[in-house]
Amino acid sequence: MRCSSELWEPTLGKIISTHSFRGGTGKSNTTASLSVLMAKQGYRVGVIDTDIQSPGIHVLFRLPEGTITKTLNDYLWGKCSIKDAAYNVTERAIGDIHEDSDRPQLFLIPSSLKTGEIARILREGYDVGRLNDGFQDLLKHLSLDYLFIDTHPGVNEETLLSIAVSDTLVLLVRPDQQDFQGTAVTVELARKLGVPDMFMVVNKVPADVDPTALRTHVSSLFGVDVAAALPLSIEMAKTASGDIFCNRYPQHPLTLQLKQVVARLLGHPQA
Amino acid sequence: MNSWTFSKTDAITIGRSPDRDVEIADPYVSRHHASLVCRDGAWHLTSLGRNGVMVANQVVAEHAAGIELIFRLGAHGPTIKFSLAPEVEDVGATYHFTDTASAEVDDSHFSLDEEQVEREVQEVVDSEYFQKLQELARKMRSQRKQD
Repeated sequence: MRCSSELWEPTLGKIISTHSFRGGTGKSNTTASLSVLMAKQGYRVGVIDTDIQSPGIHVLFRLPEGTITKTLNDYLWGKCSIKDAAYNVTERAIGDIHEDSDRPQLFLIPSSLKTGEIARILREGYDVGRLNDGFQDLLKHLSLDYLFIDTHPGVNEETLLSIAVSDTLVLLVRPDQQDFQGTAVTVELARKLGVPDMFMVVNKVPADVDPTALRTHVSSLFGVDVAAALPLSIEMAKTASGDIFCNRYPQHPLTLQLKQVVARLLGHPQA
Repeated sequence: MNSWTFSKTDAITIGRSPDRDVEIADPYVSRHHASLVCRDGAWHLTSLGRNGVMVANQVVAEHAAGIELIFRLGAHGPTIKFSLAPEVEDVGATYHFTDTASAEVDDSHFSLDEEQVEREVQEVVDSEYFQKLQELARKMRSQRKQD
């Protein structure tokens, strides 16, 4: 890891990392919807898929085949600038806006889906410091108000970096004992890294569980605010990552809860 | 059910650690979980551990105990009844356990092994990478504050 001070060039935009200790928590689906709902509030938003080992968030945005020519992998290998790997998905995810409008805008920075490229980056690794340079460049050159980082599950160097540079950390957890122990470790590490704002979202809550009681329980267990308890949704399962959930089901209880999370991110928790 | 009686004291500590006044060998109880302190003649319950203290199903950081208080150590730990014993002239307290399950959430299997968490955190924190990251995060936030 490089340690030069230019890694930390201050920017006006904020970084929001969404993380879960285990896979399968619905992190990418949640991140995609949060980014869309946030942009619809009139912001310039970016989403970067740093889950290089098992990428997938770009599937939700349904970019036509052949659109993606550069990815985060290419940037990390020094083959392109991070801007070259950023795709404007505003029209696809939000709809038509005036071509001169600065806001809302939504950008996606995907990781490669090619198995050979995934294998290569796992085999050879990459410069984690360059990843942070990429975050900062995105905020600056795309004039982002918010950058969502969709992280790799677990705790590794990339995850820790994403947490360290975050203004807000959103921790997703399922009501599943398998998620809890590792999440507690992540919470403590985030505290030690001085993350200014951290909250949890419980996802895939079965219908017969009282969400209020569950939120109280999880908050008590981790000592962290729980912004929402998202219902286990058959509609989400049926969507099968073929669409962004909040767009397909704008009035669904899950979408309404996600709007509460966005309000929390914007500093308006009662909205 | 277990009970403890104290007299001539103005502070009682509760937790899993052997040095607690009320030692509770329960995995859901933190080593230093809570304390009861008498200030100006009134007892107050204070939560100290990660697992929290609940009164009437609400998480509390501190709560007046009055002459009687029922509280729970964590969301699924043991329930404790605190009461001032009338036959003791000096300040005293008796604690009773009841094993009540949460009616709202079947969360009996949600728990944390705090010692394991501490060990795993420490392993990461001790690494050179994490320490560099910690320092850089400090610099970054300090710089942002100045701006």
